[in-house]
Amino acid sequence: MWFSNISLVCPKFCLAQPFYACSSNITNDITRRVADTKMKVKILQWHAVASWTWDAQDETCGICRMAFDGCCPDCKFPGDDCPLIWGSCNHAFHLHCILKWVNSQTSTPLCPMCRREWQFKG
Amino acid sequence: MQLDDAGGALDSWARFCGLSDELFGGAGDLSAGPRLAPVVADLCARGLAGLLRDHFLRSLEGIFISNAVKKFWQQFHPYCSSSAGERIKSCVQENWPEEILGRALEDICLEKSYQEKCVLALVHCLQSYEDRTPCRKSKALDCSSSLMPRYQLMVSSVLLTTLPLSFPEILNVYFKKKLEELNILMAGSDGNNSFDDHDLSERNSTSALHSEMDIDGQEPEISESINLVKNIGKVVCDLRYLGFTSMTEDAYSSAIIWLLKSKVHELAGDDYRIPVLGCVKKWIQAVPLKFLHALLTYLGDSVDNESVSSGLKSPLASRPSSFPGIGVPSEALVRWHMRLEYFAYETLQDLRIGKLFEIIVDYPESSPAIEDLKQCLEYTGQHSKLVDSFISSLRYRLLTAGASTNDILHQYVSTIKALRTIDPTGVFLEAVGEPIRDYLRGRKDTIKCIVTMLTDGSGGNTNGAGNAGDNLLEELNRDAENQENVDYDDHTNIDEKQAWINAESWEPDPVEADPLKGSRNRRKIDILGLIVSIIGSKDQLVNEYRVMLAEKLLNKSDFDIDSDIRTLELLKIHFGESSMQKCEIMLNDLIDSKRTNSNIKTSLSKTSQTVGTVQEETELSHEILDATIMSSNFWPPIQTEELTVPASVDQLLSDYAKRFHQIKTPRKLLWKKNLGTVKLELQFEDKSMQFTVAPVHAAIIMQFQEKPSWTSKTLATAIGVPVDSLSRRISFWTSKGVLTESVGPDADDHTFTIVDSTSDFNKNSTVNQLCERFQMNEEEGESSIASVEEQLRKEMTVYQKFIIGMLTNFGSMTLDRIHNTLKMFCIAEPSYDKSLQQLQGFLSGLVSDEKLEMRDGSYLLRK
Repeated sequence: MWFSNISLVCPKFCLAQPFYACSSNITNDITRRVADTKMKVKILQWHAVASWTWDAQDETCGICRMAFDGCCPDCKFPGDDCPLIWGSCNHAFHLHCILKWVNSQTSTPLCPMCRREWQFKG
Repeated sequence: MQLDDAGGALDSWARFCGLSDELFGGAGDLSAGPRLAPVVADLCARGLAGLLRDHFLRSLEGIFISNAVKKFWQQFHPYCSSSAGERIKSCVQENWPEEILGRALEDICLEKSYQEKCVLALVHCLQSYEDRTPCRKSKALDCSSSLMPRYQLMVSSVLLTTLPLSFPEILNVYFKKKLEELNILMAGSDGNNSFDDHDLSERNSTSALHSEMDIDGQEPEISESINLVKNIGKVVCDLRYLGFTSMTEDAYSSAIIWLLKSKVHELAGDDYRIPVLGCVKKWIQAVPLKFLHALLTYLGDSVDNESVSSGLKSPLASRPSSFPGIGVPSEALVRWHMRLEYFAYETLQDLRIGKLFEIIVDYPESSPAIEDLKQCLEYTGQHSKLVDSFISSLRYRLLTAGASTNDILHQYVSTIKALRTIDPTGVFLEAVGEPIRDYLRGRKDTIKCIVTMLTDGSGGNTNGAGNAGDNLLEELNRDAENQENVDYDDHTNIDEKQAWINAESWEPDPVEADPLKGSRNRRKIDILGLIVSIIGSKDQLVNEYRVMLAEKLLNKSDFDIDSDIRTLELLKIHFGESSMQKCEIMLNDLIDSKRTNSNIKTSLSKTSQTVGTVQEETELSHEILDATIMSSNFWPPIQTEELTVPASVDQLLSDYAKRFHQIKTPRKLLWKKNLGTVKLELQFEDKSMQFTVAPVHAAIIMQFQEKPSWTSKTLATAIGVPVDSLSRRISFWTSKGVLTESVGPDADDHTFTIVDSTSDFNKNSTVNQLCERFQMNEEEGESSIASVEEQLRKEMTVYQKFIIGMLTNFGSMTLDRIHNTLKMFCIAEPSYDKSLQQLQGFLSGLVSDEKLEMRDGSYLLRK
């Protein structure tokens, strides 16, 4: 509620700038009170937590049925050790899985999903 | 020839009676003896020998009873009449039994020896008659030679029939007192000599042996003790003389044993840090054996026995035992020695078994006591006693609701270690450990405690009870060291077949093998294996470990995981690589994060330097942001919660994520904004304070930079968390005295105000330092990882629909039936793989949520 009020007053600032930076510009009233508090927070270290994802629009690899964010059955560690690869048809597989598939085909390899010719997406 | 001469016979009889009376009453005058001979011969010739003998003995008996026995017992009268308790008391307090017993015995023995002389006189008469009439020799010889034994028998039977009940007790007290005196004397002489002579025991015993020659001024204690032994010996002699042989032996052996017992108790006591067995053994040789030796020598038994023992040696004595100073021990002495040692072992063992619980509580310090107990048990073989008593004390003292799981586990580990020394085969450990394991299985937090013990060693025991000896991590370490050449599978799960193969291929330790190391390696009882067997499966343990590890890693503010890697390596050795795979990935994530983090930061700082202008606006440098990037598939489910972080931080995060995307295309970062740690400094006009908090706390306090006062509703909207969780979180700051809370117009809309002026601050916070560091306590920091139970509940929720559907159709179902039906029908993803216990837990949760009802062991829908 409070937030939306401010947005009405000075939408430009609030969208573009960090919160406390814009606060002194809002109203006289608030400015006075800020001057009163004089408390500042200085962040020394922010240790955040994140997870990564391949962002493959699908959950699991069509070949090994393992999660994309996991790793193929031959690998021990996910991520850099077991990367994903996209074909020109936009289907994604674990690199190791599709390599195995491609190498096992005698004729021109096809995408296991759409049966179009498999080509690595440049 | 003179057979029908009745008158002559009567005449001789009368004369015989007169003479014998004169003899008895003669008071030492045996002159009537020779005169008796013709009369006796006459009576014997008339065939009245038997009659004569009987009369003689009967009149002796009468005199003995009236003269000696009554007087003898009268001496003890005061002690026989009073009650047992007082009697003992008076005996102990006063000095009398010793003197009176001696005097009374002397009197009665005098009387007896006089009477014996009388008997001998008669025997002489009879013999001289027999010598003259060789034809009836055989029959008459009987007559004369049986007279003396009959007299002895008569005396002892008279004494035994008139014996007061308490006489054995009196004897017992007498010996006890005497032995105590002796003990004190010996101890005194030991103490004196120990200053100048190391071979004191040898010297003492030699002097005790050659008792007669040793009475010189230099060792008054020794001579005194010899006198004492002599006195005792005299009493024993007298008692034997009166036919109290077995009673006397009983009395002095029970006195010795009593003394031994009290000595063991005195030495052993409640101190478990010193070995006592050696002292007890030494004492046995120093006091009771020396006493017995002296006594036996005095009584002349040992001489007899020695001559006998050469030909007929007891199997007990086959052990060549040499006693210091007592050259070649007689067999009786060897027997006594064995007996006393056995008794000492047994006493000490009983004492230690009774206190085994305490001993194990302070195990590493109390190992001397354990060692003693081990030796005792080797000798007595009463292991089952130990098992029974220990189990009952465990039940009574440990396996109760009041004991914390940690304590139980520590005690269990100590028990394993202690019993491992007592019994390397582990048979008794099995019996003792079973109740503990059963009990621990019933406790919910067992797994958690075990994992804590495994990971941080201290067992999560903050009050310092967990000492180094209980450190399971250490145990892991040792395992790893010991196992270099042993197959891992060898002990983690030995199946029966494998065990049989092991048993068949068993070989004794080679002679040259180091007995300490070798045997330990081979017969090692695996503590971890035993601990894991409490839980049943290692999977559960590994899962719990994973959750705890995740918790720990997520709350880290740096990337220092060396100790965790070490622990994981050890666990991998124990549980196998595959089961620790996920944990390994988690640690690997941290290592990768560290690398990526520095990578991103250097590239970010480069760009910011080139741009330059952004810096001023955002005010926050990229340097302050670190990130742990995890492969979420391999981490335990994480509780995510919406949180709007301050825009400046949000900017940093998105920059960071963008950078990540650039470096690791096509991978993307998804922030878990509620996780992590923030180090911040609150700067006031005149002071600053440092805190390490969760992001949500940081977000809260940063809002107060703009506005000193917020209502909880507006604040909750600003940082994007529900009001109730906000009020939970904000209490951290109010408790630190940074914010004050006041109830606003709306009852559930509290107003929080920053404490701005210093004076206010001092009022609220007692701590007033320029720079303070606060670390969040565990209670304040909230678990970011869903606990195992929560995970389970989440997984089970899928089946809730099935269960409710089933119950709608069938009305009511038992637990078993629900379980089986689920197993049968839920085979598609996610297939039902829970155990009966897990299902039961879930159902009881539903019951408490008032969704189901439980009646007569079956579940039904609540209407």
